[in-house]
Amino acid sequence: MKKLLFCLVLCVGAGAFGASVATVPVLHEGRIKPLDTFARVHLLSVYGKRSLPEMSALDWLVELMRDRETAFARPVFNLRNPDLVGHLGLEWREKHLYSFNEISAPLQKQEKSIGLLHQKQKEELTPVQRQLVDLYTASLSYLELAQSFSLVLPQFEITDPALASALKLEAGRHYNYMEMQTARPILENKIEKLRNKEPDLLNEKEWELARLGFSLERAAREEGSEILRLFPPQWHGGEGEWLSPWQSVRRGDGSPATADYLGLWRRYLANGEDGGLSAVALDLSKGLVSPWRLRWEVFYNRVDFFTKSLIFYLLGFLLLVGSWAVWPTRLRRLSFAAAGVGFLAHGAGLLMRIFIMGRPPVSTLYESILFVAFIAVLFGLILEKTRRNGFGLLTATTIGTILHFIGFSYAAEGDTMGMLVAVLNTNFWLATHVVTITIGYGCCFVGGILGHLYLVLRKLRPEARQKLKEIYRTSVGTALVALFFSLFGTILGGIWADQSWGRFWGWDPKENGALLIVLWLLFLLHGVLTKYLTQLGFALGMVVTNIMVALAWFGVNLLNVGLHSYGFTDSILFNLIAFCSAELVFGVGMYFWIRLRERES
Amino acid sequence: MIRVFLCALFSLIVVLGLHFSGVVDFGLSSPEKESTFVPQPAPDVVFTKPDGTKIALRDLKGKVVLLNFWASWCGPCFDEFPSLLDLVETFGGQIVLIAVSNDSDPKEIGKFIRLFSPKGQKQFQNPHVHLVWDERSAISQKQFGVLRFPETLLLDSQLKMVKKIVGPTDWADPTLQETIRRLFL
Repeated sequence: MKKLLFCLVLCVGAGAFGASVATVPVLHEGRIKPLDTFARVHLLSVYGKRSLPEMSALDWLVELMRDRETAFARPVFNLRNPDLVGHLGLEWREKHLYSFNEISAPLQKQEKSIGLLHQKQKEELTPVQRQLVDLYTASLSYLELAQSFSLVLPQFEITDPALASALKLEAGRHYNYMEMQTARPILENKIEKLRNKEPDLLNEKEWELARLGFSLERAAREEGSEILRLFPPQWHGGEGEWLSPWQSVRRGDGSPATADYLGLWRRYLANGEDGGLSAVALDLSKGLVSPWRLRWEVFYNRVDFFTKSLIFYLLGFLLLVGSWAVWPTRLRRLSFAAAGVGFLAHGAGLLMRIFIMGRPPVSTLYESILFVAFIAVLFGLILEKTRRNGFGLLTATTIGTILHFIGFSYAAEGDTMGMLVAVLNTNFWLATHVVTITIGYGCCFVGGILGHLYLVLRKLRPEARQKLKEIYRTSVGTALVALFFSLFGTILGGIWADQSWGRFWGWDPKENGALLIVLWLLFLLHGVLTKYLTQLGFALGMVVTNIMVALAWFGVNLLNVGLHSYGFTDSILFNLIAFCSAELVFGVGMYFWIRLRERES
Repeated sequence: MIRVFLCALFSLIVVLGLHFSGVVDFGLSSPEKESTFVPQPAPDVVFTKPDGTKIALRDLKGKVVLLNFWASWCGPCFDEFPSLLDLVETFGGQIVLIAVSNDSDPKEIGKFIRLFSPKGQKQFQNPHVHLVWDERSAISQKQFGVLRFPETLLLDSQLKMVKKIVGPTDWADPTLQETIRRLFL
């Protein structure tokens, strides 16, 4: 059985890590990424998801580049605002999906007004106006993508043999834009003679000539397509700039290698045959990007580790809840197994990100969410293994699930492996300060959940003193671990700030947030030592710790001030307020409710 | 079992921590440069002159070759040719010029030459100047990725493509001539 599993893994791995069109490197947003990621990011920007029900993102992109007619008729633009749909004069649909053909005409009519809106600040626009501008930008990118390979698509056909002969071409054969260039001077010369002729007086052959000239001119306008940067710099002094197919020929950056590459793309778009396209692509970018990183990233995209880990955490949570009703031992074991599998998938995903990005997985807000979840789940599983009382499992599955959902909302913004700001692009401090601080956050959340657990248990079963004591002692231990990492991380942050910005401490909101967490944990632990805080008070304090961490982690990013403002986001204010309010109401409410009940009894 | 797992996890964290801290390099990250250029051999092509005779690129090994892509309807090409022809004359037999015409008709080449002064027309007779016709730009586009004119490839004596010059150029430029001279060494 083990051998079979091993062989299966080997085969899957070989297939998963093989080169394909998905691994073709492309430069986008300052990073060289596989075509698969590029396609997913662009599909996400219009459709809201990284794949269509009927096809993958890569297939969608290839269709867009190869068969514009079909692609423009496919409903992929996700418009969820009825006001926006009404503004565009479209009918409201339950599925909210519209094709490029449907939206392009109304957008074109409003081009001038959209241009004016574009010049304003985002805060000055209404939600509909903001979405209109975003939709217009997305439609332009869509069009630009469709034009990426128009120079090699066989879109010109001459039916008249006499005209074909005059242009030194063959009648009935399809030619692409590049192939038409030799005939262009003759064509332009002939069209020049027709300029003074009335359109009604043109014969059929002259009409064909005029149509051909018009098509060629229209195709020439598409040479502005720069979005798909597939060609690495070919000649000395290229300044590291990758070029799109059109840019490559327009700027004269073509070479025998790019000619060969373009020919392979032409064949691939014509009949879907790889023909060594991916191998040539990887060879072309030798020394600029590691082929293995591209393959790993495609594998990472396909497996979608974090969706898998979420499913298992959720399953673990449901099994645990089920264990409170029936089969306690059996279901709890299954719950532990499910959480364990989820943890392995989670860890594998993080490991893949480390290999792909070549840096610790704590560089962006999205990554820090995943890492905090990882630490919290690890802590919870260790607690469960040592205590075997279900509390660790509850903590692990709850935090794992909640943070995954929060992480997904950030993943929906686009490429999650983007470039870093310069100050973050130092692996030593990423590996030390940021990792330590996020471990501290993770432990705080574990303690926070234990605080919730204590309050709920004390309310429902005040007689379960042993269990309450257990939770209390575990949460004190957790607070100590959290304090250690938070304090250590804060000090390391100060040292990093001194090296990067020339000062150890600047009362930056992020620094203040980290200090607040440390001081709060110190206050709680001192309260425990001096017996100033009761078990109930400590539990409330741990619930409040969640609020502290949320404010320090997310809240400061809303301020967009200080040297830590690279994580600025304005989209989570409502959710943050809702979370903090809910925690406060829960914590304080439960505290006083319990006190009241215990006083009465 | 849990102990083994924790040990493995701890070891992995230590390894990654040491690597990313810069204390030890385990070679996980491969050096990725912004730009890399290594002269590649030119494709092994055979050109055809308007009179039907062939000239293979491989037969020019040992000489520095200028592969100039042009067309008769290209104004800047016309402006560039005099300095290009002067360059070939200056360097004697050390440089060979292959001027690849992308016209639709080879007769256009003859018409193009007649636009030049008698001196220029005589320079076209230089045995080290080869005017060839690329039917339907098959070689220019599909072998060399050339679409705009003029573009010139500089090949060293091993027929490796060392430089590409896009657009019309003054071949009398001392820096350019120095670059070419270095290829003779």
